[in-house]
Amino acid sequence: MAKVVLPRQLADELFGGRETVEVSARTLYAVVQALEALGPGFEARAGHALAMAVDGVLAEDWATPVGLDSEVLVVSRVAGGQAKP
Amino acid sequence: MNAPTGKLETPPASGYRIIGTRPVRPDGVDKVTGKAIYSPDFVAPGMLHGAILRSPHAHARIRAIDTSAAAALPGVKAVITGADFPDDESIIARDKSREMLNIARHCMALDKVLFDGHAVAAVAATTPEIAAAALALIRVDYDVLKPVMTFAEALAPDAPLLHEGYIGRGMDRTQARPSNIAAVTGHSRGDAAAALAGAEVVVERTFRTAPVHQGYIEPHACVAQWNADGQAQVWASSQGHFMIRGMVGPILGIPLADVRVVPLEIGGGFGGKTRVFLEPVALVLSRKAGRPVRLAMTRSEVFRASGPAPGSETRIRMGASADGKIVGMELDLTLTSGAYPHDESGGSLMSATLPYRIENFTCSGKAVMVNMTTTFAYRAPSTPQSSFAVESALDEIALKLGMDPLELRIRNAARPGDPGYYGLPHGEVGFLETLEAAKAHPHWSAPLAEGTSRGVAAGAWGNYGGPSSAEVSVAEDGTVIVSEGSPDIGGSRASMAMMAAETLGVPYEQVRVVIPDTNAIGYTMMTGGSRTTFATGRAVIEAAQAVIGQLKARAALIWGVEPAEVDWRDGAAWCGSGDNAGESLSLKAIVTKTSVYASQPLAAAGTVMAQGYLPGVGVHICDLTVDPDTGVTAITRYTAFQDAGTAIHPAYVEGQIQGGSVQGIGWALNEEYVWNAAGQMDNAGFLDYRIPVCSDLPMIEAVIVEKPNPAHPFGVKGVGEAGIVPPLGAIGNAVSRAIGQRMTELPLSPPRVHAAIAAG
Repeated sequence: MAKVVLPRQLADELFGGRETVEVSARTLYAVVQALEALGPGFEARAGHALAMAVDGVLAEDWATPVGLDSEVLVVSRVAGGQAKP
Repeated sequence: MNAPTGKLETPPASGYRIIGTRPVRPDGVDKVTGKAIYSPDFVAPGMLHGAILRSPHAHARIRAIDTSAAAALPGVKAVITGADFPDDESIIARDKSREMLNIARHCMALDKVLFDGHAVAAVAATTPEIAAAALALIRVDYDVLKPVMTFAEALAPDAPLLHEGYIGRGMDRTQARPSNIAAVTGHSRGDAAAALAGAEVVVERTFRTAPVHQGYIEPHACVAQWNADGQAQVWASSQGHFMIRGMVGPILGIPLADVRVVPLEIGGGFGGKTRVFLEPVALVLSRKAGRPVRLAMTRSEVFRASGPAPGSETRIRMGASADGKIVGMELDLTLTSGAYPHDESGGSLMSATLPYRIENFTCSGKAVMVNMTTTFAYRAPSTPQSSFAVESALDEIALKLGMDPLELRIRNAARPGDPGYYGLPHGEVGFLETLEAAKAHPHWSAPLAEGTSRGVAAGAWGNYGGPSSAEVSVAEDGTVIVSEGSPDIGGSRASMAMMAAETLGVPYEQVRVVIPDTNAIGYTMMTGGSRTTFATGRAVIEAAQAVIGQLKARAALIWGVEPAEVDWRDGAAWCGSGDNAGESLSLKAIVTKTSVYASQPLAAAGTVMAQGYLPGVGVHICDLTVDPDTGVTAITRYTAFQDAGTAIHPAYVEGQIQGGSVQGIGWALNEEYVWNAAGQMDNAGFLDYRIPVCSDLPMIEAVIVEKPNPAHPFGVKGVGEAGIVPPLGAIGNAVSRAIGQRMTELPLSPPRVHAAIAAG
């Protein structure tokens, strides 16, 4: 199971305060789907306001592989003009 | 669109033929001869002229709108209100969030106006004069409410709520009560309180900045056409025509393939053209009138109803050891959200802390809704505000410790591998090199003239990569066409042509770049986060490399060998076997030696999700004088240093650094939204909203530092935004040193500086 670490505010808002969750996923895409199931609204947020790092490396492409023991860190995204799309 | 012309003016950078040179910009001739078509210039056959009625009240309920007299006026072809837009539920259902609904309601109010200038109705008529006359005939019955204009008013326990029932993003919905807080964010590492308790020196201050506008010269404008068959077209300048498509589609329920957005020349954006303000309104008018409709904002409308940068209040506590090591920091940032929820505090906190190694910090941020137009991105969104606090505190620590302020920053500079805000290690960030360049520059060691003060500050912006599309094709005569999905805002036609030419081994003048409409190229994220040269550049290079594969195959055909026997180097195909072994063919030679029927067309697409972006970092030195009798500040010398990775076209890079510097100088010295007691903007024009002009400033010397990005084939990092971050601190520090007291509120306008001097 991959370990996902969430920002406190996002955890409070969407995940009942859980800052760490474990998901079964082989790609970042699957991580996003698993988190959407746990915290509806996550996927829409992830697309334009969040970034994710797999094992310490920022990975914008959701096709990025995720290992069984991977740690996925969810962070705010920095980009000019943050509104989607 | 616009052919590049002219010869290379400077020798190429080391190892490259074209990268690092300064060819003539491809859009220059059209722009200086008035032929370039900006949004307000575009004309469609049968076009109507639209106009928008805007609220004079900052906060009011709309009891009723009577448009009957306007609709009856001869020449009026359509009148609309918020009721002509799709209902809330359908927009939310299409968007799966409330974000597009908020954008729609910002474009046109439904039952409540939330800022001075909020649109309440619109007309389309055969002439602008008839449209204006029709607006005067519309009757709006308002129930005027108390405006909420300040953080204190908005956060008071009994504050009127702009959005009843709204609970801010990042707040626990089971605990929080509805409020005017749009969002909260934050992050911490180590134990800041304990570290500050043990610090040799501690600075604690609260800094404030006013909302400011991007000040682009071209106002928002568009022409839109929405036909009875459901297909729509929009002609507009923006920072991303796919952004326009992606917003009007879900707002109005139009399938995206039915919305064709054609990019026009842009007269400045700086983050302010990354959302729609007029396009949905023009489309609804067009649908009702059955004809294309133009809408264009006046300057007053731009100030009152587009998306300026947030005002801010930043409380900082920063502590350092006796030898100048920053041991801890607490940073609490509040930003103006404006009428609808918009939060930039997360990126602001991340970028303000980016330049330094700080082991113990607690950062918190929030955005607060008030009755002004919704704030939005402005070049390094909201980082100048928080960085002003950080850089001012650093300056005060340097004074307390008797340290050189540049040495203090070098002492604490983040290096590659150091943990960033979230603990992720920095890549090849060039902050130390940029600081060293500033230290070695003659400006830093130049003696100060009497009455002159010097300030220094640094700043960073995280930058971005993301999705981009491009296509490269070779014409029958060997010239090259690049199509790219990013509008040309800061010179991307030149930089894309240069990267394609460098990759293909052809002259720059042989490459033409076009920016097709949304139905003619793959999705490309809008220009923001200083991403275009990095991300779209990679798409262009990828497409050019695919074309090289096709060229090798065609060269193999000519030589009668297998494609695997052909190598590509130094801009030419080289034969590796057979009778022609050792011979080479240039791109042009390959193309002209073969018929178009000889093989597949020489054309390929490049699509990327560009990763590996690195921050932009800058250091600015400012010399200035302060007139003690008037409080007027005059900048006498200004030098800006910035790490560009590799500068593809150094003149454009220098322009970005200079432009960012000047906008930051305006932010620091003069610019601010001024409200009256009713919440109306009192300075909605360039006569009263004072942006710097050339006669106000000395030449801004731009110094490019180049520490290449390993994740880009040519080393690009992105340079569009970091230049606006340091000026607030550099000028604040110089003025504070000049008058002997710490200035904590911007702008440092003559009345404010004079009052500080008088107060002693």
